[in-house]
Amino acid sequence: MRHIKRLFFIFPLLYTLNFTPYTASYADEPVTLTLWEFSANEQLMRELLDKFEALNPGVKINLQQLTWEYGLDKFIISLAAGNAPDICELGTTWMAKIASAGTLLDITDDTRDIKGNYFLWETATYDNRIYGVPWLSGTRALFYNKALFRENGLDAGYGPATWQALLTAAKKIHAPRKGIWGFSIAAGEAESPWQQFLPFVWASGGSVLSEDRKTCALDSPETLRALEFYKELSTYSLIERQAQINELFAEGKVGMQISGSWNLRLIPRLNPQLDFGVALLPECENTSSAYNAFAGGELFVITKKSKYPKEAMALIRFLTSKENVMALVRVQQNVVPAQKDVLQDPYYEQFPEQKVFLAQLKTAMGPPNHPQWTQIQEYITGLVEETIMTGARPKAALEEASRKIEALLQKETKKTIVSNKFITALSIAAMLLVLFLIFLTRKKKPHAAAVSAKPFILISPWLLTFLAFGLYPLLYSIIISFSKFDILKSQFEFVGMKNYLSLLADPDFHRALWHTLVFSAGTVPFTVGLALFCAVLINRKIPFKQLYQAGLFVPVTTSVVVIATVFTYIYSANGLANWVLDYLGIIRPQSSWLTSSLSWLDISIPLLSIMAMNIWASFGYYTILFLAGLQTVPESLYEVAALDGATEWQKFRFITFPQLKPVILLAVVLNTIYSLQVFPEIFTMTMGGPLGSTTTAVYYLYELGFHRFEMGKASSVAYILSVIILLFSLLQMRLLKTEERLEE
Amino acid sequence: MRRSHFVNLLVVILLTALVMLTLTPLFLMFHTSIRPVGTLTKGISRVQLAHKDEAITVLKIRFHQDIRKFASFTFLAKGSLGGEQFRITLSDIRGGSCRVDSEKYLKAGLTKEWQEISIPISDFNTAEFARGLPEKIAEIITIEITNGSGAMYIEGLALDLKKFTLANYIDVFTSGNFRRYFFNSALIAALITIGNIFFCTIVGYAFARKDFAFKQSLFLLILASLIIPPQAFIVPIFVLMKSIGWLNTYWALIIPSLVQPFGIFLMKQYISRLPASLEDQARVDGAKERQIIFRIIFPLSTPALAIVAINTFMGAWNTFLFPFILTNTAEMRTLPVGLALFNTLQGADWVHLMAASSITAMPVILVFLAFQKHIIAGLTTGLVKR
Repeated sequence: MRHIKRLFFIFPLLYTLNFTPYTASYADEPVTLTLWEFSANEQLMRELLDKFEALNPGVKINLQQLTWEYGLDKFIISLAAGNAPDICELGTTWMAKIASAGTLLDITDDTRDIKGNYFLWETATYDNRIYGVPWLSGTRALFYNKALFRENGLDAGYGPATWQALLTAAKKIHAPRKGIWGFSIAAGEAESPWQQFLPFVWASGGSVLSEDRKTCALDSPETLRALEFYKELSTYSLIERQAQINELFAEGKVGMQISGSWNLRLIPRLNPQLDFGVALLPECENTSSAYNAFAGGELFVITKKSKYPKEAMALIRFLTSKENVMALVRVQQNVVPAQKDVLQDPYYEQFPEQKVFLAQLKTAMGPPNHPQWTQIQEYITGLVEETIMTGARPKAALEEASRKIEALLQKETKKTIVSNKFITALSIAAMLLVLFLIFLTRKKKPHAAAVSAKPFILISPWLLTFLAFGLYPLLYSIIISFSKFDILKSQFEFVGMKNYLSLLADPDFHRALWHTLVFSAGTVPFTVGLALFCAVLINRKIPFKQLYQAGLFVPVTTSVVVIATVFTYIYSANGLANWVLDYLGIIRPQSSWLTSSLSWLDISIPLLSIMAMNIWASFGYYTILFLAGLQTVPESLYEVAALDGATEWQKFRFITFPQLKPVILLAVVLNTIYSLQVFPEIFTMTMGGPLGSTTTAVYYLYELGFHRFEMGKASSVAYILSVIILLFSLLQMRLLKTEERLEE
Repeated sequence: MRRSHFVNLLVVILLTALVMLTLTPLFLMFHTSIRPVGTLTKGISRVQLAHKDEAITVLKIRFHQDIRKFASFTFLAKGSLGGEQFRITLSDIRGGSCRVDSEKYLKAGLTKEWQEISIPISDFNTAEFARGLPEKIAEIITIEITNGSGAMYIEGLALDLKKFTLANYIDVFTSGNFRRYFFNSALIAALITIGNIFFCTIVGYAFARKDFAFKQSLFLLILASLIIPPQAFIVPIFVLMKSIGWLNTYWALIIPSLVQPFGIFLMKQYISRLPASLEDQARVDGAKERQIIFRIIFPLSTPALAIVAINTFMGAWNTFLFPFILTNTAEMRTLPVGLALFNTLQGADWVHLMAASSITAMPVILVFLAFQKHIIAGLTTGLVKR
């Protein structure tokens, strides 16, 4: 008993560490700045930083590289925990969201003198204040295959100048029988679809939000014109994810694509032979719009909590200077500066294609700086996919999308602000309560075994780690699940069962659950069945047993990130899977298996493809498990059966299967749990798309928590799913056990 | 007897086919990782360079390729007067260069007849070329006359690619800090595996053999922690790690995984099915709890421990989400985090991506292959004895 009491003390103790005062920095101590970025080569960036450190003695810079995919998530978590870097690179589309939370330093006054030198200031501005300095720009331009242009009687010296010319060129080049596509449209992922489509909207004079950014202006004749044009264009297009488009373009199978400057570097790596040109984007006929291109980019921002804002600003000025940006540009060749005066740099004389991107910046604009933009863009991606991948009428799809965006804009955003410490304290209180409850339940049993200290010492390694890293996060997330919790703003408000109730009525969540159940029902029987089959075969008296065991197990050892990468290729439009279908003469999908919109009962080809991959990656594990189990079946049983003239099937049915039942039960339960929690595969391969057809429950959780910042709702998804998993596990145990009893 | 031989033959064929099918994706990965350039389906063996078809004294051609991936230069050349010597220079983006002079190959210089010239890339002195740059990319190829008053003609200028190259692996190892990621992954995976073997046995033993207060509730908690998706814990774990000062330390990556519920569950199930007579005997002989665990339970549990070991090793080696969230510097990254970073920084360059993937995947495969005899042997003997 005493030992438990001791445990009670440890956690408050851990908690007090939270309040250890910050050691104040002394004047003679070096200033340490932390910088997070994800666009530059780490080595080159370090060289620049070393230069800065040499120029500014006493300043040290910690560099951390992030990724595009996870960069925002990590930055947000760090902001929430008060652990953010001094300087961070931010994509322009994230700016408003983060600036609106009041976590960035207002640098309006520090940037007055350099304002004239850069593009993209409007993306760094929120509420008329400036929060970032433009570093790199990310415009898109038109890449076209010169050989395909010549073959089809088009002038390879220029790209199409107008929408009509674009459509004509696409029509001429498009030859699906030969595996050649006229144009290409990104779909089935998060960013590229809306980034490619919006410039068409702007070019025809439409816009997403009204001037004051308070209402949705999407439902207009201009946007409809753009959407209808896009739909017509899509019939002569490869509809794929951007990475796949790049690849097929490099292989010479796509006439035109809209892409960023990184392609200049990538294409020669993929295919040194490809003869391609880069041109400005075509303009829409009969409009007065000045914009027809997308302007994204990378900004450097300073967080409010930075202790050295002056030094941070000096570093930003240093990094965004023409000389230092060009140092990166020259070597990486896949980024474009945001400076206006770099055009004269000799580098651009050497690489005229790069110049196109700088020229395109003049007619480029960014999406509106709105705090909800990250979600608005999801709706626009949905609109594009809906229109070009399904038979949806543009008009209806447009009305639907603008209704969704309008609803989002009108949502009220008033919440109570509570610090993290409050939730921490609450969690610890809940933890104590749980322990107390366990303690109470024990007292009710009069005949419990005598309490002895020893078992507690034995289980203490688990108990300690579990209390800290299992129970605490568990209670924390349970508490969050009953609240509205915006991690970016640390806004917290109890809402009772509201999250759970709204989820139960949420059609998106129903879909996610359906996909999860389909995933589980479609993988578990095959994985376990295949494993059982292989184990029984390997268990026979055959040579090379170890070879087979090892061969089947190897995929299990491979990281999901690796597996997903390899299978993305296998499923790509000209990948192994389609190659095999071609070879066998079976009709195959035109596009990649992961972007197909074919589905039945909302069970889509991409979902099935990921399921097949999952079976491949996991059945070897259960094979080994079953093989181990098979060693415990007494040989004598088979000998007796052989004497009685039993067939192979009878031996399996009446000896192997019943003997193996406990292991099978374990395998089924484990595999069910894992498959219901499927996430990394979805995350690395499809991000839940296309059209949300691969969004599973845990992916939905992730999306709610980290893309829509609804942490509370995300946590409730976890607990609804947990209850479902629990029910399934119990059901499976019951089913397999009753059968056993019947046989006896 | 005949019939069973026939069946066994069928089984062998079937299994061989299955294993080949299973290994195809990984074979593809490895094969792509050692190819010089190209997408996965399209192999390229030579790069033709376009240039003007006229008499020249200096010819500059944009190239923009990594020269480590090429085997040789080939072209047809003739001189306008005969006896001309020339020089080929490769220049990198920062102005560094390397060159080869034609004297070495043509003692008497060019003739008035077309002559096929082939120069191995290894003849270029590339030590100074592209120094300090991540890759050895030649931006410009210059061919100029160095001796003789005439001009020269060139036709069919091409560079042959190597069949296989290790350049992709070298790039991966030199970009970022892959050696360090490798060390981190190995250290973390090894410690977590040892911890689980050790602690799961002890905890499993307690749950299997001891009777103590709250035993049922605690065991249910272990099972419950299996069913909650770990993604729900990202924020609380981060906040916790920050408050105890463990962010960006090995502690954060090791301690929470040191005793995993699945291991405990497996060991509890296994130990409770072991005969208790040995322990009772030992206890009568005056053995202490520690001796019982390490002398009796441990040796008897090797088969289950083998499963715990591969399970935790694979899990620890391949885990991505938490190491990414909880580490802040390159020194603390693990391989999957490094791989994901590499993926985004390089774009969809398959050859490099597959090299990075191979580096991540190979160690676990090798560890498994090296120990598989012991793992399987442990499984069979241990379980049969029981």
